[in-house]
Amino acid sequence: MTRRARAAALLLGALLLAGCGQPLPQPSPQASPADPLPALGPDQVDRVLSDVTTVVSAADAAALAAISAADGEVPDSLDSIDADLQNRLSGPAAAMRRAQYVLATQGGAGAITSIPAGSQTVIEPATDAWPRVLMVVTDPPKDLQAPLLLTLVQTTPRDQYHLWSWARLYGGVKMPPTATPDVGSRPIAADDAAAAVAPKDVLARYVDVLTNGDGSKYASQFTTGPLRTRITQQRDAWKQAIGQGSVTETYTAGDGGPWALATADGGAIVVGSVSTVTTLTLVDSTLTIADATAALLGANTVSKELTIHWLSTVAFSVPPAGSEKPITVLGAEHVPVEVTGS
Amino acid sequence: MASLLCLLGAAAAGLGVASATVWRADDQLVASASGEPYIVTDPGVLGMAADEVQVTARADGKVVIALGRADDVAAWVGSDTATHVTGLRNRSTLATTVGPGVPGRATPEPSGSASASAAPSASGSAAPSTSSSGSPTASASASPSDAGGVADPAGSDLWVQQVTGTDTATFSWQRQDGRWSLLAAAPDGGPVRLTLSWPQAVTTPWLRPGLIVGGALFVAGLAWWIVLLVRTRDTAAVALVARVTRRPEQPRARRGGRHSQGIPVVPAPDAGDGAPTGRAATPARWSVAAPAEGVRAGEQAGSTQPRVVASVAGPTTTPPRVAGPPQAPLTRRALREMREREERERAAQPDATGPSADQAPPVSAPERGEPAAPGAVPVGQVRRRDLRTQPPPTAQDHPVMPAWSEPPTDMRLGRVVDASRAGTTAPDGTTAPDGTTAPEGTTAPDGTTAPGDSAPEAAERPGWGRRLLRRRRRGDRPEEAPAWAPEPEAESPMVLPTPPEASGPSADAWRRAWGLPPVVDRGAEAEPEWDDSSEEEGR
Repeated sequence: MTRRARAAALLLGALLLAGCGQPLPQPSPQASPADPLPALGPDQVDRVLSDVTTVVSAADAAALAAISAADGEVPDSLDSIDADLQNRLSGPAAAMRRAQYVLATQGGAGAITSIPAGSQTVIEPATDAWPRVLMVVTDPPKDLQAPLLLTLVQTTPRDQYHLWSWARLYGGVKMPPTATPDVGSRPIAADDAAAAVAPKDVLARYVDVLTNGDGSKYASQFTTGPLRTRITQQRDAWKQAIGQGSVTETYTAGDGGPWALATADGGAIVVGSVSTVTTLTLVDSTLTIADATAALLGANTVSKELTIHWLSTVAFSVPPAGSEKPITVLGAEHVPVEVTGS
Repeated sequence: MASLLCLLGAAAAGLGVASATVWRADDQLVASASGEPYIVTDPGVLGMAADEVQVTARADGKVVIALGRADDVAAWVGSDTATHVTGLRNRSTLATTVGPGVPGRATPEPSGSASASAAPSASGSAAPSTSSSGSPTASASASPSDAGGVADPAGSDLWVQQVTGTDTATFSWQRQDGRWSLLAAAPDGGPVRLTLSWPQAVTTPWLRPGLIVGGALFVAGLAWWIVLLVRTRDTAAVALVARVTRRPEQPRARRGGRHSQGIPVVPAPDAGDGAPTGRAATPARWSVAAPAEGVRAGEQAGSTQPRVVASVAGPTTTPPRVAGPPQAPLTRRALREMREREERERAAQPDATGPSADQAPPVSAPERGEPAAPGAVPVGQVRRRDLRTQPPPTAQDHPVMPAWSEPPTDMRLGRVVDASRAGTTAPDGTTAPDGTTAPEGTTAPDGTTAPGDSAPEAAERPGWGRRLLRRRRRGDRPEEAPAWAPEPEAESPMVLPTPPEASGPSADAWRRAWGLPPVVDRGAEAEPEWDDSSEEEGR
């Protein structure tokens, strides 16, 4: 009897002890997804955009305040304002913004492209590598300008997303379909010919078209678009104005980019920059510069030479591989960033 | 064994409850680790012990806790050294390894042209070169090589959530889809202590089984007990039958004795209007111990019984028979006294005194006798004690008997009937004071008591508590114990002889009515009683 009881007690105790000794929890991470996930969650995108636009609008406000205080002169504080911009702007966008501030000393606030905070389309990169590119179509600005296509780039993991470029979308242009943000779009390397044309080549060919006009063998591959038209018209205007002098313009693809994200149909959205240098050589004449460009020059007239550096950001929609469709120029921004002359 | 079962059951239930209370596991699993300057949790660690986790990071100065995708966190750490939390080492310590954020992969270089040339050349210089090449990447955070090798993760776009604090930062995380890592850093330098606290859904797996098994065991034990009790009661009942036939008065006496000690009252009826007097006489009961006759003897030693017996026998005149053998020495004296008493009583019966003296002993006896119910008394000793003490009362009751037969009103139905029936027989006992009953009671303390006891017991079956109380009371009065010494079991043999007398037709009828076996085995049945008691000891 007692033996049995003892055995029962032992058994009970053993069971209790066994009950107490739970195994240590082990981490059981989910497997890495076969396809990279969108690099940013919706909240993160909002936060990034908010940060960027906050920095930009703060800089804009500071610049305008400084400009109005400087009474037409280029305020000294632009350097510090520019430094703040560097926190969230990079590449062409940073250069353009600073130039616009200078232009604003002559042309007023209208010289500054307003960057809306709201977004209507977010094109997310689905990647786990760097650099990462995020494209955003903004809401239409208050000034009834066209919406902008913003391109933000995170160069390294420890960098923030920087606004690399903005481009005014042309009227009547339709953005190519892209994957929803929760799926993400595959980033396309500059030399990746997944779409009809590799991003780098897109820029190169566009430069060739700008340079050679209709004579370019690539002319038919691009829709004309306002940018090319504008550049051509400007060049022709200079030529007429100068008379005996000479006007030369060179176009080169910008150093940054191009950045590209795949579209839903296998094409790509490519954003690049084009640098344009316009050199005017005067012969026995004086050129009076009337527009805001004078602000960049710091003078109204030149008698020998005038060199204008333009910076253009261009967005293309590249059709999928095998498609015969032309590359559509979605939008662009064309800003003189530096003027020298004498 | 039954009590052992009960014990086991209670123990099991108790352990079960304890497992859910005292020994209940902590409802927090808290583990921590230290690292410098970064601590990174591997994917899956945050949610390994619960769906939510409370994170606390402590360091000197600024503390940052950042939550990001595992790949992002690893990439952020890059080639820097970090302490990686890989799991739990034990229930209070996190398992860690030290290594670069991305094994075998350095922090990604800024991609080629984008920012390679991008020395934060003051864009103010606005050289064409700047515009063309210039993407001055002003990183929000210093690169690891700067700032003494500790970068500040705060504010990075990589983080889904982040918390910064001074000296301490806390953060709570809810399980969500994906691979998540946590980065804790002390940008000012120094070690970071990371504590993860998971709420634990504390299960009490042993509560229910413990209660169920324990309850089952307990109930089994109880059942066993009950079985034992019933068995003993049966035997007791048998004994009762025998007794009833002899002395129907017992129940009454017992009842009166218990409540109001009215037993003395009962005798009064004999005298005539005894009831009132009886009550008044109650106190006498206690004084009974020293009945007129017994005083001397009682003082002498434990010889109380004999005295009593003697006194009882006296009235009956026959007692010598029964009482004779065991108490031979006393008999003469007793007889003498009894006769005297008898005469006194007859003369004095009208007065309450006579009865009171006689009855007093019985009263006390019944009390003892009741508890003595075989089944009720767990301890053999007590019971025996009762047995020994009882005889005197029974013996003294007899004289009263005849009068009793009528007042059954007090009795419960069953008993009453019995009593009345018995009464018929009883009268014999009384009328024939030869005292089949009386002697029996006296001589065979064991046997007699058993019947006497059983009767009361039967009457009170319903009242367990009472019985227990009584038992205790009994136990409390050691004074009554003196009776002990005198007659041990030696007298038991005597019991057997007496039963036969009791086994009249009426007794059989009663038994049949109660569904009990015939009287034949009386002796055999009486023995079981003792067996029971031995069993009781076993318990």
